Amino acid sequence: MAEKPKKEEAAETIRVNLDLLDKLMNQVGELVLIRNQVQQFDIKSPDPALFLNLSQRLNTVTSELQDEVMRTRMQPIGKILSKFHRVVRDISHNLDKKIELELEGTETELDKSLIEAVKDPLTHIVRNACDHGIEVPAERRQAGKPEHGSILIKSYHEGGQVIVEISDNGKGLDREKLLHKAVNKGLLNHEEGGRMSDREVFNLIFHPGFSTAEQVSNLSGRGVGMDVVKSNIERIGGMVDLDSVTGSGTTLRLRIPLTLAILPALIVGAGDQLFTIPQVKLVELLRIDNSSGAGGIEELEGQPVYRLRGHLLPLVSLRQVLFPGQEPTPAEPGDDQSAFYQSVQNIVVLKSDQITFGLIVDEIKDSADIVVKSLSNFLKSHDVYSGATVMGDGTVALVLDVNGIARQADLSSDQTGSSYGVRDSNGKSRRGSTREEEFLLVNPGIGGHYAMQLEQVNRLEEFAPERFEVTGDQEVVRYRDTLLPVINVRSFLGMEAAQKQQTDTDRSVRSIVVVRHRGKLVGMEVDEILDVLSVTTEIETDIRDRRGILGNLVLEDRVVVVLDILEIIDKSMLAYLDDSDEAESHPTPVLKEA
Amino acid sequence: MSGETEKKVKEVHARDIEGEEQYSTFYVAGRLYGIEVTRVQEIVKPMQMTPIPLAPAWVRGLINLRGQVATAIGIRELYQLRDTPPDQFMNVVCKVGGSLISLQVDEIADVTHVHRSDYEPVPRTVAPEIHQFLDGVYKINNSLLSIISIDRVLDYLNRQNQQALKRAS
Repeated sequence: MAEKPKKEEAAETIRVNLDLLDKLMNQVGELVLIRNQVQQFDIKSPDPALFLNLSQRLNTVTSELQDEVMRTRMQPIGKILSKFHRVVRDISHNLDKKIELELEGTETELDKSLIEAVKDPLTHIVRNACDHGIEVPAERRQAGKPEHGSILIKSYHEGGQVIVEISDNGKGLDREKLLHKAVNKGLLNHEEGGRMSDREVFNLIFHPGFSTAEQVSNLSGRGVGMDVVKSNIERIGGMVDLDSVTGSGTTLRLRIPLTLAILPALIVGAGDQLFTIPQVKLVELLRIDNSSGAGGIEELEGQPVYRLRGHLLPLVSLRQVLFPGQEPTPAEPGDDQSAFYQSVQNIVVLKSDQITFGLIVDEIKDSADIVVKSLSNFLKSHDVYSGATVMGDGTVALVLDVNGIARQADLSSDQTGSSYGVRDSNGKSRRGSTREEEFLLVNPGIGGHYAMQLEQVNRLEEFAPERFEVTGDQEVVRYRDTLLPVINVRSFLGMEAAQKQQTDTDRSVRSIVVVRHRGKLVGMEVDEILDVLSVTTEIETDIRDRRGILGNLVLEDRVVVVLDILEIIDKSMLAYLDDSDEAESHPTPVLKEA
Repeated sequence: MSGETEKKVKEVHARDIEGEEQYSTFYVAGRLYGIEVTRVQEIVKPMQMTPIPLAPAWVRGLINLRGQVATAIGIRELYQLRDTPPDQFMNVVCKVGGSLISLQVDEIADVTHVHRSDYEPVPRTVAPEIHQFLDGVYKINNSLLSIISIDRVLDYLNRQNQQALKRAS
């Protein structure tokens, strides 16, 4: 009897539309009919047509049943949103502010378990908006805004997801204040902050322990905040996005999957076994042919890496992670051309919490919607897996946990993250006081070592010579629906005659470094793209004998000339760039007579 | 109330005569073991299994039990037996602690009725690796029936998991 009250507490109920229940009943009836027919199916003299018919019907009924059962779990989001009226009223009363809450799309439906999961993050966001989004009436009057601040929560379906937008017309986020705070906390230095876009700066508020409130109040400023919101939303497979205009408001956008139970996933194979990877963690798929020599997987201190659009992508072999010791690894440096690096490799680029990395798999199969079942508790120490799923053929496949894989492969440690991790979109992997800068080493076809600042490089391309055309004096290539003007670095530097090693027609491809400058793409032609170099040395600017040179990098074994590609572009094609109405923050170089 | 009735019915089934208990019995490496019949959900023929890379040796893999995923535990590995295992295993599926566990055994025997009076605790001389999983021994005709406690097995698995977590951190 002692157990009884506990049971009643745990029993939750849900209201289901009677129509829906009737439909479910009908479908179950249909299912029973099909089962009866399957049971009567004569195996001794099978009729393929009948079998096909049966399996088709079974397919229809099952998917309809799946949809309908899912719908019984769907609840309108208004159920929790309407409670915020009271929250906002209470807070605005406490803070002497005038705030109105507007709700839009309250009928948008979401799986019950997800509704519960977004409730707390939403409450936090709404409180935040009231507390340090909306100003006090006096301040608002001063800013020329109506005394009443408003918060709008809008929810709608988009692309199989539910979007919940929370926007306020308050004071917005303050770039300078955020940067100041970040520098104080040692998250970044002044220079880095200066280079960050507004969006990147605003996203700092998702950093653990980051609070902009000057004073700790009842409601906020306790340092537990947006990072928890973010991790809570991400735990259920959603995403948080933030947009803010200083002075006129902030918008937070939550993207939430429709249901937890069914997850789109990619099926990959490794070591005779199939595994699934949740699509949300997937960035892209790569297929690398190593047999052609250049452009394949390289080795850095014994670890495989790949140059993905100018950044080094650390690679991890799923087979080596899961079956350590079973695969011969290239043990000696001389042996690195083993079969492992020679064949065609399939790489799944994944984004874990800390790092973007490439996972080498034996094969990439297909994508499928999977139903995730959790593993037994006593397997929880294996955080490489987040669950298991039953595949179409009835076998069980493990669901890989991307963060777990990164941990297992020792990718998430700080050391690895900063030495050759791909910078994530916020550029966060650059930490610490010594600023590391990356350079792209190129051979422009004149003696000596030349480099470009990698952060200025947009893409690296190779074009066949026949793709080059000429308009006026300018060489161009058709590229992504536009014309890409090509500047030859060698001719610009005026060393054409000096040491021209090869004529252009000799080569099967021409290497182009694509640079975005003032909103336009420009190609810089070099003879060879050699390597990416990461150094902490400052650029020496003492010796600059000609235009287009930024300075020199003095390394231990050589001197590398750093090209000022922006100047080269400006000098070569002012006319082309001038008609661009988008003037970026680069200082326009003053024209000097040579 | 229904839960309680069910429990009572089960109890009655298990001890339908005062002092008598029923065990679902099976063989592993030629030895006879038993699990309390009420703890066993079902016995399943050999099934296709998905191994879990990096998992301890006693976790043989995952099996699809009509859409539910059960974790297959090898009794041999738990007992650290070093003989040659057969090609196929029968599954004794139990539901413990919210998850489905399938103990993989060599051969299934009968459901055996035993009497309380035939019970003996496990002698101290039994190797501790095995001793820790046993609840006792019943002396039955021509042989001895060792009782495996599924709770102790689960305890052991959870303990091992905790230790693995500690090692990781």
